[in-house]
Amino acid sequence: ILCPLEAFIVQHILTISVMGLLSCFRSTVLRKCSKGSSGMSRFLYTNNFQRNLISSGGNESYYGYFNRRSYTSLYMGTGTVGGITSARIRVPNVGCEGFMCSSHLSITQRNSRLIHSTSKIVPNSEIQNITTEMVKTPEVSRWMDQVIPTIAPCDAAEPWQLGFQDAATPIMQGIIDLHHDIFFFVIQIGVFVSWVLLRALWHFRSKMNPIPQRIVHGTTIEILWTIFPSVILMFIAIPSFALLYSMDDIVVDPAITIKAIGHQWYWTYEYSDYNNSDEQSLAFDSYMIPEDDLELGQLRLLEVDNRVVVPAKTHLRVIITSADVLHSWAVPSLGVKCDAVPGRLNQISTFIQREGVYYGQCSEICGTNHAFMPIVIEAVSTKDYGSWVSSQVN
Amino acid sequence: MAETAVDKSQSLAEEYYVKDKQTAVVEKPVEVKEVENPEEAASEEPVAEKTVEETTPVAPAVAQESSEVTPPPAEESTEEQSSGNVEENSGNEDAAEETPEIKLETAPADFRFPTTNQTRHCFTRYVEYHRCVAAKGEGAPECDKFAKYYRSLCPGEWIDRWNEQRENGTFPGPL
Repeated sequence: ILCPLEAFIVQHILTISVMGLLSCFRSTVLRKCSKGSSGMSRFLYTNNFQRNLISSGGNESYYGYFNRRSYTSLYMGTGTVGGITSARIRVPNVGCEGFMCSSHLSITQRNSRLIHSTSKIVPNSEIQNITTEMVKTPEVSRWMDQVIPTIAPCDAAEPWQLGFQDAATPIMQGIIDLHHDIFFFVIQIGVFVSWVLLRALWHFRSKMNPIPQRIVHGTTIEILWTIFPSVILMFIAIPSFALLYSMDDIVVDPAITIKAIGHQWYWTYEYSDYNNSDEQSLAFDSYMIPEDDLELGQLRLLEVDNRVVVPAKTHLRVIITSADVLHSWAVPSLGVKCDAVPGRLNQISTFIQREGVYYGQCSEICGTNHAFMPIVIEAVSTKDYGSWVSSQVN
Repeated sequence: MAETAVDKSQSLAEEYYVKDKQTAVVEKPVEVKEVENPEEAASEEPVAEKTVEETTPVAPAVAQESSEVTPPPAEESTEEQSSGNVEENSGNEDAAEETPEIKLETAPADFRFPTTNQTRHCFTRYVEYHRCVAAKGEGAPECDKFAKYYRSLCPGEWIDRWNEQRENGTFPGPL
């Protein structure tokens, strides 16, 4: 008979081995199963990352600063079982780290029940009634749901990906649909204009027309090529304006406010909804994990030491500002990009529709290490979010 | 160039020290949970068995964490004292409530500030709170709402700076 700790460890090893098998079979099985989806970036496969030092003009002492920092994990202090497993078993994160974090959060939830500090979350009932069709479950995931109870997909760009990442918010889905609509018109217009141009080049070449005609005018063609482009532009503008005005923030009251403060070269996040005084604050810095400290399966230039944890299926307000120079807070899967200006608070609203880990980067040149200040958002269930806040606030 | 490098190194060192405090903050919940375990043991017997099973693996984890962190002894003593106080308070709160509620609510959207720029929104909420305090006195229950609103919207550094300006009498807002 196994004691619960050993049973948990065995389950952990089994799940990790299953993830390892899946990562091995991904290139063969998944590509056959999912021919239609071109942006398959849910399951990360391990890749040989180039081992290059992060150099700031050859200044080694500056890079040594990054090495000196101790990367405190949010999940080390929460949950005794989590601490034990991370201390005893050094199992690499095969697959993606989002899975590990979600399992740790479930551990936190379990431990919080034992300690009788379960938090009663009062979610908005209107939000729970929203039915969404965006929760995409690929075919392999349905098979894996029977084996692995909790899985969090990693939304990051595949190597050399050209198109959009998978959408996680209605705004990003709207942006992708608008792009497809406009691209249809763009291709049609491009083909037509190319045809007219080539036809003119062919039929009016110098052999057939040695003397060019001086005066050419046609009233009918003038009217036609004025009215038709206007109609086309109207067909492009109507969905574009509809999407633009649907992004307005004022419609829905948010449930959570997160403040993202840009620094050179890291992000600071503040959750101040749970404060009872000005001194008390749930704030943390989010630094990139250097390449030397990456574990197997972690993404280069994208992982951070402290992630932003938000509940899924909840209206969020993100207030973005900066403390020194201009930055830009951009997460492609959420369809979010907002400048961080010192002395100004910019607000964006978002509604994440599926749980997962979403990666972004600073998108405004902000100095030497502009490429080394990533953004990682982990969307969890409302219950797990309550457990996380309880562990952080206390 | 050398001077700028020195300045950067100093600022980075300061940031490093600030992060040490954060790590200290992270350590507190573990201690709180450890202390709470015997209370549960006193309350129920089957829970006592579970806590006994849990306490045995906890010790090596704590030992490993202490070995990893290796703080100086002076800081250890101060942290223990502060953590003791926190433990007592949290114990009392747990005894009173037993299920702390975390309500997912924040400052509502204001139709006076419908655009992306929310700088004036933050400032206005702060001024409203202090007007309410001036009108109804400290600790008025009606003013707690405004306090929550401006804390949700304003960054901590801004609030600290405005508090200093209010104390010095140089705050530019209409209080």
